Amino acid sequence: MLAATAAGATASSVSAQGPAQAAAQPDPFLRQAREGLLDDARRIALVPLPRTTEPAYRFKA
Amino acid sequence: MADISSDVFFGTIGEIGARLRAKEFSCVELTRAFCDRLERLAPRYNALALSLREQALRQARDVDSDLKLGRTRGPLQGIPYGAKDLLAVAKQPTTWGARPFTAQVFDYNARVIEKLNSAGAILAGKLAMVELAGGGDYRYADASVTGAGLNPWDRARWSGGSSSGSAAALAAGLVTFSLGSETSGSILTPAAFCGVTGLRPTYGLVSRRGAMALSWTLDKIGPLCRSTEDCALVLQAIAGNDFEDSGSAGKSFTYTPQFARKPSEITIGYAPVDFEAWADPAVRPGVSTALGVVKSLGVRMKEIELPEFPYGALVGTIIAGEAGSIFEDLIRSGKVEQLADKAQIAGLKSMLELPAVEYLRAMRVRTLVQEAFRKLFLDCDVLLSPTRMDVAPKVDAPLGGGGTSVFSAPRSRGMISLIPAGNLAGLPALSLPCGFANNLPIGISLVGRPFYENQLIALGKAFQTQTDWHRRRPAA
Repeated sequence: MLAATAAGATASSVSAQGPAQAAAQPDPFLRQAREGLLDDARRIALVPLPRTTEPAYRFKA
Repeated sequence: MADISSDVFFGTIGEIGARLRAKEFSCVELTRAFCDRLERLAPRYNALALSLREQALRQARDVDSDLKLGRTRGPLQGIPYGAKDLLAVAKQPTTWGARPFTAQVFDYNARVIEKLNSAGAILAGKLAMVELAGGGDYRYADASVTGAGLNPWDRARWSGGSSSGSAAALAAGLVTFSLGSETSGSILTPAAFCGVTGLRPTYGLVSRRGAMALSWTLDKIGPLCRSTEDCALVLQAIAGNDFEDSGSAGKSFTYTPQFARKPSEITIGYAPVDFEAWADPAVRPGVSTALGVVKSLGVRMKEIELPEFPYGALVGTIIAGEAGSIFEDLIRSGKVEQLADKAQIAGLKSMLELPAVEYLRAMRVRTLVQEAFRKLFLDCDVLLSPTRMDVAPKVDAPLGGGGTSVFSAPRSRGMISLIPAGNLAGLPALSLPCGFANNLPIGISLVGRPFYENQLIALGKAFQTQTDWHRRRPAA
């Protein structure tokens, strides 16, 4: 899912920049940031995750 | 007019408090001297966001009145300090280190400021920080509306971030203690780079009410001080339950050194590879000597390794999910472009594209991380590692390169990721100055199980009884 959004297909990213402007002026920092998120997602996806594991959303140490 | 000497500027809370109560100087004299020094010298290090001289002098007059009447409020009474500029101070600008927020004013104090007011501490100024606490993954040290934080030990070097001013002002003797915050490394890193003692409390022990949120599930507020014992005194004053912080653990902290376990009853887990290979060659002699000092305290040592998880990726994804929501308006309005660091701007913008499922996967894996640490702490009580594997980088160098070349990376992971790992698990940590490398301070960290601050402090105090690194001062 992140791969699709990293290609610039989300409504928010397109509407915020304008498709023409985004295509004309690719921001190398933004590309790098997106790649960083993708890379993080790939690393996290390698961790075996039991289906019953809940998120730490009620985080208490 | 009392003589406020450099001994006072570099004194501990206990030392200054004793001289204040002995009437060697009044609190007004002390506060005026610190404010003069803060205003004069902090700009050398880009450490000051805002002087609070008038407010501080009013507080100081109240303290002098109280002391005359014999009303004592504890060890922090009359002690000048500084607070990271992400903490709200009523009716004063709170910029979060970021140009889009330079005109921001709150009408209330952050909870920690309230608590320190009640303890009689004197807020001398607000201290500079990396913009938005660096949540967008900044590339350069000058990612701040106040410019790059400069290190008092060498102004060509960075003071560390994101609590840059909190560490630099303390190291330069401009305040007696300071407050910083940590999402992942923002207390420990500047503490190590500037040669001061930094305490990251257990998640939830200190209220974040009135503090800028970067990540609801990672943010912590903690002290930077001249000694471990000072950290204990400040933590005691600022910790406690708060119904206005949803992350509050409902616990307080009482400094009880008398109940600390003896060193011989403590098992410390460490990874020799951290000291022998992961640490930069210049850092190795200092951290290895510090390891020897810790061993000489009589503790039991056990070789361990962190459980294998992608800690950095987890922290990055969790911050992206939470900071993206917190700063959504800033990003969508386009005001994010006013930030100083291009990588940070891009990092914040990219956060809006993170799918919820990725954030939740990271938070589910985080549950496994916490379980792994619970198991790890069955085998040992405290973890020990160099705080940073390298010294403070040059102020104009790109950040994030690391001190050890990937080509020489050791096979064993040791505890190289202890900062993000400890933050994911909400663990307390104490960074202690432990020497110098290339004339720059270095530090080691003790990390404990949740709410184990008293034991970390006991060990830190024992270490600082054997060493004097925390007493060193940069050249004037």
